[in-house]
Amino acid sequence: MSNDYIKDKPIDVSTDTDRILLDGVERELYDFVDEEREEDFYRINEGLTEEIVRKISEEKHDPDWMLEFRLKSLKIYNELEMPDWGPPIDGLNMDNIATYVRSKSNMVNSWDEVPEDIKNAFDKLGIPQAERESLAGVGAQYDSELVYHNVRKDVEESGVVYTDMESALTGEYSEMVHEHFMKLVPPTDHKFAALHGAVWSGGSFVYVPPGVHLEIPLQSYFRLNARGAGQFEHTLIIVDEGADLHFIEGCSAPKYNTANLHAGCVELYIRKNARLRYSTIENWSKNMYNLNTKRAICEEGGIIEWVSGSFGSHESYLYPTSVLKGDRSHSEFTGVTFAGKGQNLDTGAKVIHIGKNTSSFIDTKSICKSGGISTYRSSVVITKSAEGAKASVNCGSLMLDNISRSDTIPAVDVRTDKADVGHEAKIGRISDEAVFYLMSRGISEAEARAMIVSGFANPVSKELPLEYAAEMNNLIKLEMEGG
Amino acid sequence: MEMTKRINHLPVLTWNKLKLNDAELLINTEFGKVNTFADAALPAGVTAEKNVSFDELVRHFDALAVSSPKEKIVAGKLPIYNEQRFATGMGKEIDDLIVEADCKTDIYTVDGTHTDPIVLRYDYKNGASGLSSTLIHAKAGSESTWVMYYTSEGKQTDNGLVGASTRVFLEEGAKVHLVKVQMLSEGYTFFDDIGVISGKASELSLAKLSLGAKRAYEGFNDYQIGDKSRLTVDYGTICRDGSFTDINYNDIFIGKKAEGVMRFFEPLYGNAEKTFRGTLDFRQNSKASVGDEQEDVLLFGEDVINKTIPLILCEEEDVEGRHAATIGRLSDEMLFYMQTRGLSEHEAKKLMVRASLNKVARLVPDEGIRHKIDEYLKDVI
Repeated sequence: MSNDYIKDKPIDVSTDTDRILLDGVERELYDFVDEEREEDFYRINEGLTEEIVRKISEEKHDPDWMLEFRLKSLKIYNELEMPDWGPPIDGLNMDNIATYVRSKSNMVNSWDEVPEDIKNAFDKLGIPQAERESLAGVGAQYDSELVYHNVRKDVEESGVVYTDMESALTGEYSEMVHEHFMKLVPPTDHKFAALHGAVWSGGSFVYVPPGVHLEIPLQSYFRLNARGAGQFEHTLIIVDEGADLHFIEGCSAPKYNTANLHAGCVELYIRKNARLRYSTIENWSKNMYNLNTKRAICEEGGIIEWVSGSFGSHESYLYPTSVLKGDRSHSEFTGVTFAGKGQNLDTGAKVIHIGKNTSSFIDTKSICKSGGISTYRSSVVITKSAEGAKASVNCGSLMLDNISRSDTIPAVDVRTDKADVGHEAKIGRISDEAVFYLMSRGISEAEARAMIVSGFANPVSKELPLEYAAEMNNLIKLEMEGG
Repeated sequence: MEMTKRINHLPVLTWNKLKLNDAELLINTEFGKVNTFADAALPAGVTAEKNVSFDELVRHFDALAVSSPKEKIVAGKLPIYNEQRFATGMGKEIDDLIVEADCKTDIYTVDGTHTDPIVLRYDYKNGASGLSSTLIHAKAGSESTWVMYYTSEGKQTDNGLVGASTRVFLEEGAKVHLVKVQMLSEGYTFFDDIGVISGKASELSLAKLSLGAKRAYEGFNDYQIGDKSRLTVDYGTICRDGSFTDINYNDIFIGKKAEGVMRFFEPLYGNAEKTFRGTLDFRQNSKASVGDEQEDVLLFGEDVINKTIPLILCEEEDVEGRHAATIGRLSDEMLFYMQTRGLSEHEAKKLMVRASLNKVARLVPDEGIRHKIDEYLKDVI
C-alpha cells in the first residue's frame, strides 16, 4: 500500500470515531473552576501602584529592606519597556490584574486543617496522594500564599530546610534570604523581573546542607484559582557543597475568560560539587500569561539539570538560565513544549559558560497542533574565560498540521578559540511509514499518532519520576485529543 | 555622504542584548564611477540594458510580476522584507542607498543555453569607492554562468567602500550558476546584497568566496516561489585578524517540492569578529520541500568573537528542515591523523582551511581567477 493511502485520509482527531482512548484523563482535571467565596479570601484591588505595593508589603509583614526593594523594583518596572521580540502580550493589562489574593486561613502543616474548598482543589490534582507515595516534602500554594507545607521528619532531621518564603524572610534564615534574594535575577533584568520584585508573594525556600543527598524529591504545587489575578511566587534554593536535591514544581489554574498572569521567579544556587535537578510540569490554563524567570548559578563542579514540560498557558516566555561560573560545572536542559489551539509558547534555555572546562547540553522537543505556535529560543554564550568549554544544542520540532507554526531561534556566541560547540536543529512531520506500521498492528490512526508524539517527547518523560512521566504522557494525549 | 544603514535583519527578532537582530553599516564616503567591464562581448542571446534608474528597475519588476510574498501566520515577526518589492538579504536600506547615491542598474536578460561563463570584473583602484547594481533575468529554460569578480589594485591598506546589489530572476526551468569572488585590499569595506526569485523547476547555484576587505557585510534572500525549484549555496570566507564579517542568508520555501542546500565555511583568526544569520523559512503549502544548512567555523585566535544564529521557521507540516553547526577547534582525531602523516599541528590547520576553501574555489569556472585565489590563499593562510 502506498503512502498516499494515509495522505488521502486527513485525520480529524476531534471526531468521535477517531477519539483517542484516554483512560479517564480529562482536561477538566486541571481546568476545573472552584469559584472563591468573597468572605473567605482577601483580595487586593486590581492594578499596580505604589499604594498597592505598600499594602502587599504590609500584609506580608515585610522587613524594611524588602519594602524598599519592592518600591525600587516598581520604579524599574515603570521605566522598562515591554519586550518587542516575543509573542504579543497586548492582552495583558495590569490594571485588570489583582496582584495579591490569599485565603483568610493561615498556612498549616496538617492536611486535615486546610480549608475544605482548597483541600478539594488539591485533592482533585492528587497532591496529598503524591506526597504519601513519592515525595520527601510538599508545599501547596493557592493564589498568592502557601496554604500547606509539610516535610518528612527524617528529611527535617537531616538538616534540610524547606519552608515558605515569608517564614524564611523573617525567621532563622532571614540573613541567608537577604543575601540571595533577587541577586541572580535582579529587577533590572527585564520588565517582568521588576514586576516580580515589586509584588512577589508566596513561594518556597530550600536549603540543603553540605553533603546531604535527598533520595526522594521535594515538590511545590502552584494553583492560581482566583479570576483575573496574578501569581508571583519566589522560589529560592541553595544546595550546599556536595549536596544533592531533586525539586519538582507543578502548576495549574482554572480557565476563565479573563487574563491571568504568572510572573514567578526561581533562583537556584548550586555550591561546589553539588547537584540539583529542577523538574517542572507546567499546565496553566489557556488564559494564562506565563512570564516566568528561572536562573541557576553553579560553582566549581556543580551540576544543574532542568527537566521541563510546557503544556499550558495562553502565552509563555520561559527560558531557564544556567550560569556556569565554577570550573567544571555542568548544565543539562531537557524540555518539551506542546502548543495547541490558541497557544503561543515561546520557550527554551540560556547557558552562560564562565568557568574553565564547563559543559552544557540542551535537548528540546517542540510540538504544535491546531493552530498553536511553538517557538524554541535559546542562547549559549561562551565567554573568553571559559577555556575548554563544550556545549551541545539539539532541538527537534514536530508539526502536526499546516495551520500551526514552529520556529527555532537558537543563538550561539563564542569568545574563545578553546571551546567546542555543536548545534543541530530538525523540523519534520510524523512519518507516514511509522503511522502505517502501527496501524498494521491494529492501532487506530489517531492512537498511532499519539504514540509517536509521546515517543518524540520521551527524552523528557524518561527524566521524570514515574508518576510525573505518566502525568506528562496523559497531558500529551489530552493535547492530541484537543481537549 | 555620511550615514548609517540598518541591514541584515533577522527575520524574527530575538533578545536585543545579543545584538543579533540586525547590523549597522557605516557609510562615510563618496561613491565614484565603477570601473566595470566584461571579459568579452556578451554572447548572442544575452542582452544588456545599462544605466537603468531605480524607478525604471521597479517598473521592470512590475513587468516580471515580482512580489515578495507575505506570511500567513506571523508570530511576533518583523515583516522587514515585505517592504521591498524584490527582497534582498541586506534589506530595504541598501535600495535606499542605491537611490540616494544615484547608482544605476545593469539589466542582463538571458535566453538560451550558454556554457561559457560571463565574467564581470569590478576593479577599484587606489582606495576608490563604488556601488554597482545588477539584475540578471534568466528567461524560461535558459542556462548561464556568471562570475562577478571584485578586486582593488593598489596598496593593501587602501580603505574604500565597495557595494554590490545583485538580483536574479529565474523563470520556469531557468538555470543560473552565480559565482562571486571578492579579493579587495585588506582596508576595504565591502557589502554584497543578493536577492533571488526562483520560478518553477529553476536552479540557482551560488558559489561565493569572500576573501579580502576588513569589514564585509553579506546578505542573500531567495524566494523559492516555483514548485521543484533548487538552490545550492557554497560559501567560504577568511576572517583575518582585525576583520569584521556580518552574514545574513535566507532561503524561503514557497513552492512545493523545493530544495535548498546552504553550506558555509568560516575560519576566524586573531581577534576577528563574525556574525552569521542563516534562515530556512518554510511557508504554508511548501509541501514536500527540503532545506539543509551547514555551518563549519574554525577558531584560531584567543580573541575571536563568533556569533551564530541559525533559524528554522515553519508553517507547513509536510517539510523537512535541518540545520547543523560546528564551532570550535579542529577535532583531536583529525589532528592526530594528520600528525601521523608527518604534518605539524600548524601545517595540519593550514591544510584543512585551504582544503575547505578550495572546495568552493573549484566551483569558479575561470582558470585565471582560480589561480589568483590559489596564490591569495597561499599568502593569507
